[in-house]
Amino acid sequence: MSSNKPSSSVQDELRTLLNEEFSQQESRALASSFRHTADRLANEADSATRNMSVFVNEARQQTPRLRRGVYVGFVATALTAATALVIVLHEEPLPKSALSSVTTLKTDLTMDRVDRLSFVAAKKPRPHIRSVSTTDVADILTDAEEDQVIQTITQSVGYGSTWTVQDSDIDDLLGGKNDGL
Amino acid sequence: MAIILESDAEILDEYRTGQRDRAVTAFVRRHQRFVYSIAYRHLNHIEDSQDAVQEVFLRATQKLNEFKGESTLQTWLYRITVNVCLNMRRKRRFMSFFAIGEGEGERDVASHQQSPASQAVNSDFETYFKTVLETIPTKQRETFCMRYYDELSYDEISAITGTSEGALKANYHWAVKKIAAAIRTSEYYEEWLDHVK
Repeated sequence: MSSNKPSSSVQDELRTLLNEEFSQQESRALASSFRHTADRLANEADSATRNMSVFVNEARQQTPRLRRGVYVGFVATALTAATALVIVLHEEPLPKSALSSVTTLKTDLTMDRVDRLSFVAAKKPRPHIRSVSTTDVADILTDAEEDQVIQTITQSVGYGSTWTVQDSDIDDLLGGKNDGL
Repeated sequence: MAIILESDAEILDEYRTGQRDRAVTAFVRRHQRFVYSIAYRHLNHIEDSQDAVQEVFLRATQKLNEFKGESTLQTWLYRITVNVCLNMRRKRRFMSFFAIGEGEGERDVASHQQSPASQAVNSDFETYFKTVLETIPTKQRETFCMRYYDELSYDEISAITGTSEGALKANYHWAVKKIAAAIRTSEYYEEWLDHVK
């Protein structure tokens, strides 16, 4: 550490400059005031930086430790990833029989699904509409008794069918059967 | 092995080939006043300047092995210190903008406060001297401080600032005369004359 007082060359230079403007006595007084403040600033700096070398050395010790920690962490992660990759790459391929089994299983499952769909379709028959013209019905009615008519209609139309009869059709039917009543 | 590391060359040699802790201790002790003075001139705050000094030496020692000697260690340290101080000032502005920690206003007030011990020993004249120093133009002040307080040669200051030696000498000349003129007309000067008689 350099001494507090400015070196003689710097102080001489200052005094020379001051001599250009002021008397020798005044220059000496001014120069000493400059030197006094320089001493004060130097003392303040020394006081503020006391033990700085200790702090810096401690900080230096901590920094590599931190770096080492990061490095170890990085290496550990890289090793884990590499191990996982090796395991995946060295895993034995599936035997052909396994592939065949899978195909069979898949087929069975597909067929099973088709069967189930057929069953569902059978349970719920699609409703169908059969249209019977009024004249056909009128012909039937003219040739048959009421029970026969119903039976004929039921057979003709079938289970689950809908048959809508309009008023005019009924009139036609009744008129045909009850003609003259 | 040198018993006491006195020169930068010895410090560098010890750092590269000997005990690093010893070299760092010598390195810090040799330049801590210089670095602190620069930091304080830029930050005007004791605690911030102390933080800056530690950061500067930490950065410098991390790169000390790569130091090629193209400039002096002081020149190199000066550049690191100015960079660290600029970063700290930027950070301080950012924190004050978002009102994190102390505000800028509080900081300015705090920066001009001195420790009780320092206040007790500092005369009004010294305080006045510092005030005068703050009123002269930045280039003149920085040249004066580097030449008179840090005792750098004009050659070294020129390498740091990129200003010619002639311009630096002129800056120093004007700075000294302005400070002297301000002191002579102050109310403290008579007291000082009595003090030095």
